[in-house]
Amino acid sequence: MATLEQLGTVVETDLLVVGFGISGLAAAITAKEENAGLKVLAVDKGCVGYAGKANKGGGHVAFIPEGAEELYVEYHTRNCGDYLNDQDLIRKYAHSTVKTMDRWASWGVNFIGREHAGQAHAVIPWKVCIVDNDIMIPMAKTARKLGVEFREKITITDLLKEGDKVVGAFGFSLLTGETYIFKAKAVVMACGDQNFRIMRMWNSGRGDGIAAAYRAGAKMRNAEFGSFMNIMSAEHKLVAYGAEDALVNAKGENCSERADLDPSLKSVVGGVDLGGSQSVLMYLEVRDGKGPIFEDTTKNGFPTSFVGRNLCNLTGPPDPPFRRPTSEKFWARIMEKKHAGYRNEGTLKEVIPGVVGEFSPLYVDHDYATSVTGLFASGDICGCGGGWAGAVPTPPGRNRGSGLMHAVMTAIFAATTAAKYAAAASLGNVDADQVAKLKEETYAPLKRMKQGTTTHEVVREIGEIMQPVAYSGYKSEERLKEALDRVLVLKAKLPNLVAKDPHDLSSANECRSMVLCAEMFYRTSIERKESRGWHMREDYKTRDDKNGANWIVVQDKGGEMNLTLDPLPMDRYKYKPE
Amino acid sequence: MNVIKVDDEKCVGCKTCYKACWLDVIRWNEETKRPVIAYAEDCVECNFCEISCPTDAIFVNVDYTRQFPSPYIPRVN
Repeated sequence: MATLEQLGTVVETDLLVVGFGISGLAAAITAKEENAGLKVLAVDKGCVGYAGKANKGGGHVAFIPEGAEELYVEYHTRNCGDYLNDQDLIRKYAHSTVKTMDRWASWGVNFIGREHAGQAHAVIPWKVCIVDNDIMIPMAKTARKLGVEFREKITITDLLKEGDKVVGAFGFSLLTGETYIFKAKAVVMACGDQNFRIMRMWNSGRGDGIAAAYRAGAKMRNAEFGSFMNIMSAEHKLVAYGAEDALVNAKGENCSERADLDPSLKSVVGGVDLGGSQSVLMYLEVRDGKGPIFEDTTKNGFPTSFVGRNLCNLTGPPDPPFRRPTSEKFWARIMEKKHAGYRNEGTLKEVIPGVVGEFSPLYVDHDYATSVTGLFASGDICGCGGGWAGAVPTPPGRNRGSGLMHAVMTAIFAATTAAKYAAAASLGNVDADQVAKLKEETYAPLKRMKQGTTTHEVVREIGEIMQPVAYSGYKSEERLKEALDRVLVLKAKLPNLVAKDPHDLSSANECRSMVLCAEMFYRTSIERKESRGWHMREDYKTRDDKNGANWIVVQDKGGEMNLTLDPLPMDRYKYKPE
Repeated sequence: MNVIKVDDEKCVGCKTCYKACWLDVIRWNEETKRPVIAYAEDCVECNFCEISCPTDAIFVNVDYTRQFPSPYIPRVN
């Protein structure tokens, strides 16, 4: 039998952070601040200061001002979470945004406009300020100064266990294919959610962490809400900002007005807060023969609005108080390419919904520990699984600025808990047999000589299964089962996946993860027989407060995907359905 | 697929484009000290390599014609 050292490079640490996008960086920094004596190692497929997706977004940071927390909790519960949110955890969230910013600022991050933050919402006192898109560079410097170690270009594919406890992780180098065996007292998963590789730019979430945690026995929750959609140009395939308020069908009729909505949708969709209604509305117009759908650019006031101009940089340099050198370059380049991609000069531009996903079902408790001993999580991976947001995908919905806040806040929670745990734990034993078996399975696509399924074929088919609004946006039993059948056909092809090099082998692992997440999404979507928040069913058009107030929990049981219902403690929650 | 062009004359070999590419599209040749566009098919035109390059030596030509999944109604293969 081979020893661990014969199977790969063995690296020992106290705390392993999987992923060093913004949440992983924040977790690593927090762990060292909580306990300077801990050895902290962060691993990612990318390079330090650039990994993940935080630096490819708007740089918006939303916070709840002191004194307004309860107003926010009530509003969110009633209008966004649709009564499926954990009301204790959202209260903790609401009371932690300002403290998070104070600690975050001490890591070299500059918040622009914090003192005069804009009102980001029509009803609740939700404030938004901004950071520059090079935000992770000062955070990486802080981490290095504190002694955090990094390993770049390594993908983690599985967690290693001793009995019921996580004792490390297994992965390989994208550059060389070399196997890495990480032994750790505690592991924090901060490697993002699942975006199904459909819409460009939100493409980095491939769900490898979700799949690794699932295979390690971790509980999942709220998987049926992971199909966030944006609106994009059919011509250049980039986001058409503000188009949702300027939609017309092929007959020239306005279809942005909520009055046009099917009454059943109006009753379950939280209007401006969720935004999923537009993609459903577009679908219904097309299904009724009134497509395609266009953005009437003369009616889209968003790019030139205060937010579009200054917080999103959609029309060139912003007003002086909002200058951000890196963001301005980033957005100017996006806008140049966007305009170069239009094929017609007219004011009507065809738009389509695009799946962003934000599928993020890894369950965590209020201290951001998963259901598996020694395993913790932060950031996008547990956005829905944490339960604070309720029946909406991670961001949540169309409310901007909570992604970065959530990533850093939950990193502070998770790393504080994990650091305490690691300080009291000892290194576990990693079983060489387990590693040998994982190695054989993981590397199998490289060794298949016969003609098999390529990673690009799987990616294409996953897109066709997850994108259509008829499947993932406006759901029905019949269509959900059809989509699930397609997922299972794809799943049956996974044992024939072929990979030509370590980069492609990482894609093969991502393909496995995407198929697993798609299966989880459709199985839980079938199970939830009501419409609630982002989950919209054509065959069950209203919220079912009697039978629907449960979290659907998913867990691997002997290789089968097992679904159970976990009732919400509605009796003791302050806000109840009216 | 996207075509990523590197101007070897302008490139100063700082390796920033390699670090900036979060999807492993760009690799690095340690001998020539120049980027290698290894997996252009995975590029999502975030342009981070472009905006991070101190000498404007790299440019992403976007392929606007690539196939996108059926947006509304399922496409059966």
